[in-house]
Amino acid sequence: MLCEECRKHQANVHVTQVLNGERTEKNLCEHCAQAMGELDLAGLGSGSFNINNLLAGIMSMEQGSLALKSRGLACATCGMDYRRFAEGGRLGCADCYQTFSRQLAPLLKRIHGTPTHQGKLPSRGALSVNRKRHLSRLKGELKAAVEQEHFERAAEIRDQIKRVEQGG
Amino acid sequence: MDCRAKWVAGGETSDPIVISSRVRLARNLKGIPFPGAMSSKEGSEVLSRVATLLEQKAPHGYEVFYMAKMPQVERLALVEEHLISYDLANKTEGAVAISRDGATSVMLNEEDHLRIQALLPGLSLEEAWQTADSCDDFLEAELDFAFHEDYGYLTACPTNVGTGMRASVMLHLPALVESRQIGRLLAAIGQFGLMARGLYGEGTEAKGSIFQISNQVTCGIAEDEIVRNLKAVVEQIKAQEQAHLQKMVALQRAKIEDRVYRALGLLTNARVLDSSEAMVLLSELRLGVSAGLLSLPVGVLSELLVLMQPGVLQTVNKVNLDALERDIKRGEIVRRRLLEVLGREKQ
Ligand SMILES: [Zn+2]
Ligand SMILES: [Zn+2]
Ligand SMILES: [Zn+2]
Repeated sequence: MLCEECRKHQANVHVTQVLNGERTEKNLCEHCAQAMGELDLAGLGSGSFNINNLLAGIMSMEQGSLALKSRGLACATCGMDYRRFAEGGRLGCADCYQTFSRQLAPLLKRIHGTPTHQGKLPSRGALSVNRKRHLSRLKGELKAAVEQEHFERAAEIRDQIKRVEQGG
Repeated sequence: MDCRAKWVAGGETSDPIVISSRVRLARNLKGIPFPGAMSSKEGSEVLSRVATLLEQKAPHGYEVFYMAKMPQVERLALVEEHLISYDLANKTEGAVAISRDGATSVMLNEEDHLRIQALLPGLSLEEAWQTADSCDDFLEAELDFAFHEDYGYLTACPTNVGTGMRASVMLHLPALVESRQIGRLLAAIGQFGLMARGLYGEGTEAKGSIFQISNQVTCGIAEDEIVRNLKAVVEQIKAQEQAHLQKMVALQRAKIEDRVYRALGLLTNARVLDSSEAMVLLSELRLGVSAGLLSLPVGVLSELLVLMQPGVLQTVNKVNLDALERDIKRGEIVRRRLLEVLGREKQ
């Protein structure tokens, strides 16, 4: 979500201030948090910074436009509908990621940057991902080999790519 | 008088600044809706499948605790030992499998079907990741997890998707708090994809200068990179804390020494000790150790941090206590333990 002060940068600090017994909470970017001078430690201490609040913030901002387009959209497997997801921030089942893929794409991008999984793969059931990763690594090597004019090596890699693409 | 959690009990650590490291992996079983949307029959199915596996086949041996069968005070104790979350403690379908060595706990039917977490003393993120990873390997050999080709491991909340990994450290940063650098510092970690929060805060105060720092992004970045990033930032924060502490001591040694030994005097003599006073005083001792003014094994300070919490206090001592009785018991436990280790240090 965006900083509540400048509305320009990503908010990543949750600040609680107690002034004359009145409690205010704000999500700020680091610039604005710094500009507030001594950050109220009490705020950080209250432990109220919660990534789910952040998510709720993002959701409520996007709700206006998306909710309209998504009215009536529900997951066939678990029954979760978009409104309930937008309110609670939780999906009902794995298939929800398919059902709400259009709504989720910008959200995931906002949260994670590039939402393409890197890292661990399940030992079973991720063969195609493994192959995709292997291929993209080989293609990178091929490009480097061509650039460096190592044409023999390039030919070898090309053969390897062919084998992976055919056989799996 | 024992805690189960390894970060508390087997706490062989000499690091006064980094109290503990944790890696948590979120996983869901294929074909069953996430806990928020599943039926209670499906909930029991998750429990019986995963709990049986961990109890009967896991290499290190796990003991399973069912929330529905546990008195509230014992559930609270597990929360205080950081073995389960507060959310899980209140779920009737919930359970936790805890490894015999207290380093791994697998929460079942929390927000996701499985939350595998490894929790170790000191700055040991790589080791925590390896521990969680091998538990995940074991489970994965028997179970099919919900996985998406692009998004990775699927979780109930889109903020956990991908690696499903949340790595975090618990830090004691009194010098940065007192020099008023902490706000700026914690704000700046946002640019590294990390987030911070105060721990043990009641109401509006951060008691004991303890903070938790964790990764915010879980997708598009590999696990070992998450660990590397977090570790690099933590090492810098640690260095800054040490620098500020040294400056404080250089400027006003007598005053700081006085503070530390006053805290020690209170903790080894108080007869009624409430938890917020104990938090603040234990933080002073930790600062003393960190500054080299006091010789005390820091593991004991972590242990007391947990032993003094109301749930653990009553569970380990097998008694139900009202608030005043708890404060008396707390005073007794802290006093005894400190005198015991101080006696040992002198020999
Ligand atoms: Zn701002
Ligand atoms: Zn800004
Ligand atoms: Zn669904």
